[in-house]
Parts: sequence; C-alpha cells; structure tokens
Amino acid sequence: MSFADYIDLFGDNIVYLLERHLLLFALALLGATLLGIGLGVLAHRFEPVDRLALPVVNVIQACPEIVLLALSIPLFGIGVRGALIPLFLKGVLPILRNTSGGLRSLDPRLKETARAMGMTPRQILLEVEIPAALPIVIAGIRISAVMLVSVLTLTAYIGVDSLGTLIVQGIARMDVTPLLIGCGLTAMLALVVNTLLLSIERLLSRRVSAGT
Amino acid sequence: MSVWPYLGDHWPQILSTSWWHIELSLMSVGLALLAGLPLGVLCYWSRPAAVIVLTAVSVIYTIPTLALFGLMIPLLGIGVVPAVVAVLLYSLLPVVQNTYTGLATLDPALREVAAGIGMGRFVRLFRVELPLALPIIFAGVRVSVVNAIGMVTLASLVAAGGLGDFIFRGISIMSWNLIACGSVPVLALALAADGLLKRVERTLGGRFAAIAP
Repeated sequence: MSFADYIDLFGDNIVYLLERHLLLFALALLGATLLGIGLGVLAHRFEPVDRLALPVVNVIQACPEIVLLALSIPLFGIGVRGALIPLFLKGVLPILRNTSGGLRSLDPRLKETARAMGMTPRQILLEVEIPAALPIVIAGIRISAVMLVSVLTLTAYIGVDSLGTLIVQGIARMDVTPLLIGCGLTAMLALVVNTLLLSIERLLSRRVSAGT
Repeated sequence: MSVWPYLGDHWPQILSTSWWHIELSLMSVGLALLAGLPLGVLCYWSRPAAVIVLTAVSVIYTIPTLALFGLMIPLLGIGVVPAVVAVLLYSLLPVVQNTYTGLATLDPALREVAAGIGMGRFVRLFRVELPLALPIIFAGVRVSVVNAIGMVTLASLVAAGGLGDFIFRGISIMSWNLIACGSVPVLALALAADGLLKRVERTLGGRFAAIAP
C-alpha cells in the first residue's frame, strides 16, 4: 500500500496515536520532573539516602527498558498502568541524579554568602541553589525526555496506544508503510524534543554563567 | 509452576540463548569499536569532521531503539545483519564521543613534548595520546557494552534470536515464567558486564594516573 493510500485510510488512527503518544509523554515528563527534582533535593539534603540509593540507581540504569516493561506486567498488568513502572524508573532517575549532583557541585561559598545575607534555608534553596543548578537539572530532564519517547514507543508491546503501535503492526505484518510512518514520527519527536531542551539548556547556562 | 523451578528446568536452553545474546552484543560492540575509534581520532584531528561526526552519532543515539530496529527492516531485511547493524549504530556514540573527549582533554604540553622529541603524528597517536586517553575510551566501551546487552533484547523483533525471544514470546502469551527466562539472564548479564568493566576501568585509571597529567 502506498503512503498516500495508507494515510488516506488510516490517517485518523495515526493522528489518534500521535495524540496519545504526546499526551502520555507530556504527563510522564511532568510527573518525572516534579518527582525527580523533589527526590533529588531530598537526596542532596540527606546524604545517607543518596549513598543508599546509588547502587539501586545503577542497577536500574543498567536494566534494559523492555525488561522493566516485562517485569511490570505481573505487578500491574498490561496497558498504561503496566507502563507506569518503566516510565517512572527510566524517567525520574536522570532528573534525580542531575538534581542532587548539580546541587552538590555548587560552590559552597554561594550558600554561605546567601546565609550571611540573612536568607532562610528555604529561600536559599529556591532562590539561590536551584536556579544555579538549573542548567544541570535541565540536562537531566532532556536525557529523561529522550528516554521517555523511547520507552513509550516500546509500551506498544504491552497494549498501550502510542506511535510504537504503528511500528509493532509494521513488524508483525511486514508492512513497510506503517513501519516507516511510526519510525519516522518517533525519531522526529525524539530529535525535536532533544534539540528544544538542548537550546533551553544552552540559554540557561549562558545566563547563569553570566550572572555569577 | 513457579518461576525458579521453571528456570531450573530450562537452563540448557537459557544458557545457549544467553551465549548467542553475548555473541550478538560483542559482535556489535566489536564492529562499533572498529568504526568508532578511527572516527574519534578523525574528530580529534579535524574540527569540521568533529562537528559532522559527533552530530551524526548523537542524532542516531537519540532515535528510539525500537524505531532504529524498525528502520532496519526495509533497508536490510531481517536476521542477524540488521540486528548487528542497529546495535552497532547505537553503540557508536559512547565510543566516538569518549575517544574524542579522551584525546582532546589531554594536556597540550604533552603533545608538544612528543612532537619536540621528533614523534610524527601517528607515532604520537599510538605511543602517547591513545595510551593516555585509554581510561576514558574504555569508559565509553563499558557504556556501549551495557547498552548493547540491553538493546540486543530487541534483536528478537528482526528474527535474530537472543534472550528477547523469551521475553516477547512471554509477553504475547502472558507467561510470567517465559518472561523471567529472558529478563533474569539479561539483567544478570548487564550487571555483570557493568561491574566487571568498571573494575577494569579502575585498574586502567590507577595505572595511568601516575603518568597522566
């Protein structure tokens, strides 16, 4: 079937899958960002947590996405709920690591100066530390965003409607048309997301380095 | 039947599939090294090449893994070749990037000293620069190997075998036992490779710390 015919017949379906993919991606990234930054700040505050978490983080990082996906089926079944674990683990960790790492790498004098100026710990965190660590945090968000696009594509295998569905159908039927549409769209999405966040990252780091 | 006895009953099959999984991973990373090391050196020698090559490999690395495998089907069909090529392409970034970074961050004084005692470009590269950059290059190889072990799981989709066979078959018939047959060895392999190569990396770093700037 030619591309034109396919789009003519299944155009609505492609748009639907694209919408689902974008919606799930946005929700997952939002959740991962909030959780990652929150847990990262906690890990930075309580060093023992950080030391205990590190080996766990390493194991999960080495774990292939499809294995996480497969392992979550017996716990949450198939569908969006089953995809939650891999999305959460692969999405939150890069942000968590970069937040706590970014906060730790800050010049300690920065914090002392802020304290000497009479800022409360809360103000120091929100107005000094997090803004200064922001480029590194954004880098974490970028890594996690690219990862999430990839994991979401794979979730098609456990019955989640995403652009991966087109790829799965393409492979199953050896039909190149949906295969190329699915691959093309997900690849483009990943590249656009990466470029977008990379430019935000560069903009911010220029601003931060100019400010300090 | 519960999971562990099932794994016990099927261990010969699991073992031979794991072996094939390792072979596929090593083949891909080996070829990625053959291509990636010269590319990294090229990036180090020529700035325009660095921009083009580093952009290209990072673009490839950004493409979702499933899409990369999918794209191989119309290009190379199914079987071992498309699987190895997909994993190879994905393994390029850590190798090229780390080779380039390892070489570019060496103390420029070292390069001048080497040139000063009459070493040519190639002698300098093989006797001074590459040995000193080795720990960083090796870190890239480690990332490649761990990535490859994970990614070869998807090789099952292009009919190249590997532990992914168990996982995908398990998902389609909802058999927790079959899923475990694939997941447990993949995870064990990835962790073992990561731990082992990290240890080698530390030894390399320790050996070279004495002479590296």
